[in-house]
Amino acid sequence: MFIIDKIAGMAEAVIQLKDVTKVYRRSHLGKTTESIGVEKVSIKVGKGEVFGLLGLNGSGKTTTIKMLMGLLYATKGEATLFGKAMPDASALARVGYLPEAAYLNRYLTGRETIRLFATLGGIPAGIREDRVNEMIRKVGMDDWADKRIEEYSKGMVQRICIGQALVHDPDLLIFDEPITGLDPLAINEVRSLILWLKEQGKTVFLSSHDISEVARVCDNIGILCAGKLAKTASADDYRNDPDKLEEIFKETVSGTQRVGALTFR
Amino acid sequence: MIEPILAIAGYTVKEHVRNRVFQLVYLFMAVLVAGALVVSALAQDQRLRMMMDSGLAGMELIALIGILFVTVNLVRDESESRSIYLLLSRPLERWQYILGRYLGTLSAIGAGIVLMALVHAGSLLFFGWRPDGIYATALLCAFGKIAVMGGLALFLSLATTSTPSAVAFTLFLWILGHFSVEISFLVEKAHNPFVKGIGWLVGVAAPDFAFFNFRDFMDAAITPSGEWFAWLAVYAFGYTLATLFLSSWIFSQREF
Amino acid sequence: MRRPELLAAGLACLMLAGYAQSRARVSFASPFPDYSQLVFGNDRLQDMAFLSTGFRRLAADVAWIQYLQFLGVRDFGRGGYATPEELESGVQYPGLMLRTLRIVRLDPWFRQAYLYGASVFAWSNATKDPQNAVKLLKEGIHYDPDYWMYHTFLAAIAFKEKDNFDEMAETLEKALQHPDCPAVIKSILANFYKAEKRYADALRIWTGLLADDNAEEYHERAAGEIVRLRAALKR
Repeated sequence: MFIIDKIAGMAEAVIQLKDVTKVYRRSHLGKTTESIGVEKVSIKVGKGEVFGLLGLNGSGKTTTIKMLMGLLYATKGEATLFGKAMPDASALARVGYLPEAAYLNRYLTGRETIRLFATLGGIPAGIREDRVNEMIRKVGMDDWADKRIEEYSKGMVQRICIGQALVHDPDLLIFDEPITGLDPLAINEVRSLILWLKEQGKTVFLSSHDISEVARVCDNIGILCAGKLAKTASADDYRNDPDKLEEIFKETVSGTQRVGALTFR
Repeated sequence: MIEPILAIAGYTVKEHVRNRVFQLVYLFMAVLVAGALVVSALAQDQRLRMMMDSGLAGMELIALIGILFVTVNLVRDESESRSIYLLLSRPLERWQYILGRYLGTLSAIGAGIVLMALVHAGSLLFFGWRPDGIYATALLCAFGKIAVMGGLALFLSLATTSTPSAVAFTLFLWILGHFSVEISFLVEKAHNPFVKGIGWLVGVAAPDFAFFNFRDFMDAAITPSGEWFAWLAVYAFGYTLATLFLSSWIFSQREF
Repeated sequence: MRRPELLAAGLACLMLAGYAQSRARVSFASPFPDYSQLVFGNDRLQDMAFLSTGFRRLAADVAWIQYLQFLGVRDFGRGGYATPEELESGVQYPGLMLRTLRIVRLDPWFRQAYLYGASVFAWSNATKDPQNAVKLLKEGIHYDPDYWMYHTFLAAIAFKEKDNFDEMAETLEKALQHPDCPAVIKSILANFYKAEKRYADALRIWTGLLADDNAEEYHERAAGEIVRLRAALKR
């Protein structure tokens, strides 16, 4: 069991996973099969920290994030946000979530989408419209805000998705693979966003398999291998040497792939 | 507590209006006009009666088909498109989501009924109909039936594993719901405790739609009392609430 | 199990609904004829489809249209209403009584169906059977005791059976004043007046029928009768 608790005692634990295990059970024709999503994962993330969860595809990154968001229930252990066991509405009110792909209702316009999440985020009606307009401006969607999501490009949808995550000014941002599939300009924008959030004193928890990006923005990282937290490291270990984190990652995940390598030669 | 429900209901209405519900309403209007012409030719001396009955039945049928096919996919579509992730990652209780989606769908269908009723009443007035309270009561009862059906379809969509099975079960219970008096009769007459038990269970679990067919009393010499309407309202509310609570309970067990 | 309180609340609401259902049934028993009283010919699938989807009155409407087709152009449809005796005797409209009962058992307040059926049985030479007319009207009175037209028709039939035609005509004249009065009874009375050489009365009725938008099927015949009756009056 690995625990990142360097900052424990120094700051409030915004995220805490205690020996969390997720077992997926699937029943078909009376036969139940089990597979392990994550096993005995313990992570603690303090206030103002940017934490990166690294891992290969299928290593359990999204499972971990979904347990934090209350979309999945831990089979064993406990996932807490702001000291509250998930799912908890009061904790979720302080969280902004950007999922792996931007899953938005295609029949709504960008403005309606951000307004919906502003309402759900508990922004009072009196200031809601101002906040929505401000967010639309900040994500650069003024000219497109009243068109339906189904008319948007992937980049536009991503911007509205960022808008919904930030509209209620959350203390914690959880980003699941935030740069996957984005063009270099968009990647640059997301990176700037994370650094800006850090400056604002927000806590950021992100998952990725882009090591160089994680190295640039994260204070601490954890590497998941086949559902287990195999390694943790802090910025001191890799910030001065851009290749160091890649080395650590390769060493850690070596031989843990759940599928064989491609062998076209 | 109410605001998130209204927000979910609001976007559900928009989704339906922009999606498919109102296409059915437009279809109904076309069918109504064509139907009025055909019916007028077939039974001239009973033109108003035929237009009244076929219109009320048509409105109810279209609303029922609408709510059935919209509701069985109400949660499933959002789960499959994963747009539900973002909603549930907000301070939103799952029962609030279920209630909001249900109310939004019912409102959209209700608006469709109002639109259809306006066209229907307009065509009746054209042929000399004098408006009365029975028409409004019949519409209200039909709406009660649709509210119950919506709750039932939502519950079955969550309790079953596929859309076709949810549709099949809902249609089965819809038909069974029109034989509730006969089922009660069977339970009374049955000697076998097993048959009695099954009959009782079906009688309680299946909705009693015979209650809601007030349009059958359009020319009746006797009509139900105010007490009957009060119990009907309690029944519709209780049954719908039961389906919503049970849907919320099933949905609370769900993982995404 | 998560949120067991939702399960408990759902079951409690279901029990409340069950209680309300039983109270509603106590406060008002269904006045419709039960399914054992329904008359099914070979259209049973059609009738059952309407009934099982809750469209009882619409079922009666469709049966009414089929009834009019049967009487108008002898379209037997799927049949299955005539007794072997009726078929053997070669009557013009076999199974007419069961076809009428089919409609009024589906909708026991379908006044037009009772009146039309009774008129046809009481006064049409092709289907003459006053017993059936009386039976139909009595069934109508059972469900709708205050509807005066049933009583008027019964009285008219009684006068006719006693060959008291003047009283019969007077009774039917009262019915004619009412908008519910079927066109068929108007044409029957007009024919009766013509046979009695009361051309002015016959002309009055046919003129009324010609102006009646709800009796379009009689317009052609009314126009012809009006010409003939005017000619007869001039003679």
